[in-house]
Amino acid sequence: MKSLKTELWKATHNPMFYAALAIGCLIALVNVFENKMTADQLRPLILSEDHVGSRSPWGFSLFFLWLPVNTVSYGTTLYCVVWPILAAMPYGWSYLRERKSGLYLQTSVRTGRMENFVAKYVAVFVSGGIAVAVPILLNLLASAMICPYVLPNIMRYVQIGDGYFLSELYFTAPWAYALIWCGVVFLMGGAAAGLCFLVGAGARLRVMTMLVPFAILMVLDGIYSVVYERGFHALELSPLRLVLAVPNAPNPEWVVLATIVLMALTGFAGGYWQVVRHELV
Amino acid sequence: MEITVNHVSKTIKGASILEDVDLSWTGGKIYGLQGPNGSGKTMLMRLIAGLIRPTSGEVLIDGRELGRDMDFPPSVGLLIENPGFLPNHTGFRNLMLLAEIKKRITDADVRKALGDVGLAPNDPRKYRKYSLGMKQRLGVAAAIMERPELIVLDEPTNALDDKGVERICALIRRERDRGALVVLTCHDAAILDRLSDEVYTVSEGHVERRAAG
Repeated sequence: MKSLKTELWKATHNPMFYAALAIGCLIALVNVFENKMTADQLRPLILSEDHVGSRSPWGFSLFFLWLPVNTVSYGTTLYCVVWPILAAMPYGWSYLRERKSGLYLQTSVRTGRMENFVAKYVAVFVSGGIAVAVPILLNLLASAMICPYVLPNIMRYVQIGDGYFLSELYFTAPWAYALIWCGVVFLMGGAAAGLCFLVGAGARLRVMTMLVPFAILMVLDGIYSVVYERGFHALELSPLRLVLAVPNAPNPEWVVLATIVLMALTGFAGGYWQVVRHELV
Repeated sequence: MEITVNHVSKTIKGASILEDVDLSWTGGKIYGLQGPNGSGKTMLMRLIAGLIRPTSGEVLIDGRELGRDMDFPPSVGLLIENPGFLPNHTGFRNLMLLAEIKKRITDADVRKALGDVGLAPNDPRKYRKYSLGMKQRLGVAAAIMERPELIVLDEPTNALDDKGVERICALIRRERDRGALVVLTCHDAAILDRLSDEVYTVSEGHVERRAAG
């Protein structure tokens, strides 16, 4: 694909990409500071712990303090709200701006409508995924310098249980689980960023485009919350909360993957309609 | 290259922009479009470049229909309305990003195109710092740098000083002599007459040929 390299380069070499990464990392740092304070308070207990194998007897572990799992952290709460904006910041607005500036014409005539759209979608997806996943990964690594990376104790820690995403792996191979979750977050971020295409070139300001995934996911969250409270389902269906490994309700693998696929398809189909089917007036 | 426009009409939101246009153009010539604002000149250019599709009729490029057999003409350079580039990159970097898509030309060709339009290839300034005239020159450079068979230039001399206009006119003639089919508009009738091999008047959606001055 001729324009993919160019689009990827543009998507990852712009001030908004760096800003999204910086904001995400700052939020992740809030959680790291919280973990540091917790670790300092519990240091005597940690040092005196009688470890059974690699399992923490009373449950203090990196794998229940890092951001996607730590539900009592301010950093986690903040991250859960702003991640769709972080995903859209790097490149979600690019179609709007390039259409308005005329640059999209230049790239389209060199590649063809469909190829140009696919290249742009992939670039939006990848940059959005990176902006959301890198802070989570860095949070894991930074927290690992503070918290003991021992196996979570299933007898003490019950937030992840039967019916949750790869719950068995979480308690047996938490590093693998954590890295897989980073991949899930990457896919969530990418799929959410693709929702920017639903606006097409209709918005006046790029900030409007950047807020579209956030607005869509907030509305869905509101709907799912009402439905959940009335007991119509017992699973976590809100994409906004599914970025956390411990949402309000169980998040089985099929729900997480189906949400990612649905979001990605919605963004791609909306973009196809906006970008490929419409004329470049 | 041959462009054939067969009974093309274009209607947007109920308003007729072009009505039953017939044209037959060949490479190695400059075709000038003249007409008042809103007469349909730019719309005709967009149709020929494949950016929009006709409401009725067909546009053929070497016998193949635009929009059905292909999205865009296989070899086209465009400058339509505002030249659009990335504001945080230099002119050279902007052109290289476009050149890297097709990989038909090298960075030496890009530098030459910049020089041809009167821009310094090593100018460290970002595009956002460019003057209007420099932006226009960069737009012309983007349109011609890959030596396309079809060149569509909408007001290429906008915001240029006299020297710049002469330079761009010479460049357009050079492209014509190379065999390219050039379609252009220009608000200055004298320049259009001087430059064009054939001049067409676009008025209220109708296109008629008149003799070049």
